[in-house]
Amino acid sequence: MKASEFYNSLKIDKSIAEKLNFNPYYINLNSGISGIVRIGQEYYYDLASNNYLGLSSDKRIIEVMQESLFKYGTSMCGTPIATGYLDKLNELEKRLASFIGLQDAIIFPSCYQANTGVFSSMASKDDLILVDHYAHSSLLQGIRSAGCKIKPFLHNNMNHLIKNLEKSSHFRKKFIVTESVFSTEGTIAPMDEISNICKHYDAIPVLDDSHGIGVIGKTGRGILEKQNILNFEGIYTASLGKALANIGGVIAGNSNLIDNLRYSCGNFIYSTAIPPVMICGLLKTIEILENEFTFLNLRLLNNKQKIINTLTSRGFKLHNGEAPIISIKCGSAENTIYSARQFFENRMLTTPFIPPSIPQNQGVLRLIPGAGLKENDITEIVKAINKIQALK
Amino acid sequence: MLCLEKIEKTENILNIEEKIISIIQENLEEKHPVTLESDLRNDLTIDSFGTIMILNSLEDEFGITIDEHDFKDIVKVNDVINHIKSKINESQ
Ligand SMILES: Cc1ncc(COP(=O)(O)O)c(C=O)c1O
Repeated sequence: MKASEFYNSLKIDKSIAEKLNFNPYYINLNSGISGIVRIGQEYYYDLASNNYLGLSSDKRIIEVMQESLFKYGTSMCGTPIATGYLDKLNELEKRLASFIGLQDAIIFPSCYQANTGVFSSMASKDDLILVDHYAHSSLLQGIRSAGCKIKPFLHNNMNHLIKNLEKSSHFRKKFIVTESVFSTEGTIAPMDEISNICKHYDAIPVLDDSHGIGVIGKTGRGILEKQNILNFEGIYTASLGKALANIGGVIAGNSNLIDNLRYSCGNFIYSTAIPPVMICGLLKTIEILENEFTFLNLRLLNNKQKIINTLTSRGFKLHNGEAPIISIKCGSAENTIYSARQFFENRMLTTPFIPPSIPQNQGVLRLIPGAGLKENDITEIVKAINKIQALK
Repeated sequence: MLCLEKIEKTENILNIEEKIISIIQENLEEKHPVTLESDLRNDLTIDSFGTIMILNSLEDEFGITIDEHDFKDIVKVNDVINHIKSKINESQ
């Protein structure tokens, strides 16, 4: 193939964005996110980020991070196995493990990296991974890289999962992979039931709690707390870049599992450790979360309810997930981008999901009304939504 | 005798078609009418992991192995049926 032909073949189809004169992806922000963001010279309400608790602009965390920058510098310039394993990283691992309620934890530069790395350390040719059909791309990619048999099951459908398990007794190891909160629709997996199914069929649960940690459960500890799952015998992963307003991905679980990953998981061993400044910030974030979750969560849930009421009265069709995620059903990719444009024109930044992230014609516009949005912000958002007409 | 064999064969073919359509139906997230002309991606909104789900069920049902890559060019339900029929013939 000629180089020109090769590069032509890489061209992304942006015809919808061109037709609508609006591309909702890679919008240039020129501010941080504190409920409001700046784009060009204009201000927009942030309903797009995963800043569930509004902690990304918390002064107490910023102060700790400033201090740690002076103390430790910008980076450890090494992988954890070499110079990257700061004592504070070890402290953070212990702190997160106890926050989640599991034996031990390990922290990757991102949850994407954790999810793509964990399966090839755990599963191989003679094993089986059963995975929820709508699991996150990082999980699917990780599963594919393990080289074992893959059996997807219908989304949150326990009968379909069991039907698949019944035909799978000949596999050596079996893993059942799912997310706690499915972030496009806000639905929550029946993890308690999955845990029991795993025990019954001798399978290991693998759970991605990225949109659960710091978001659900009485004190924000995620799905295990919410569904009262004691003695979870599985592999737990979560992003630290959402409610925890930082960066990194945690894997938590049995101490042998975590130690094994420290010595077997290439995605961890060969990648520069997260910088001290982020580690120290996360330690402070967890402290705040432990003290203030109830209050922040109340605001998050109130925000969600007010916006849902307004959207419903404007004729929008919503997925009715339990998590603090609002998911508007938009149908085609074009309608989804059109809806995102309508919100944008009314000073609201949202997240449109179109294929291949989701199946054809099941486009979704996602709104996360984080606790960083105060009462007067929500009043303004409600006014703005009242100017928008739902597509028929 | 010859005539009976022919009828049996036609019945088998019909059964395979019905079986494949019902397998596809059982593996859809949302109910859609499934016909021979249904387009897997556009009409039935089947994505790549949805395809693997269907392949697994087809393998279990017909005792064959199907390579996911062979399925890349398949567009309609009818293409699935033809592919499975030729796989069954190969394995006999
Ligand atoms: C369910 C889920 N898992 C994993 C990730 C990846 O996390 P990170 O941003 O830490 O790489 C995301 C983020 O988009 C997610 O939503």
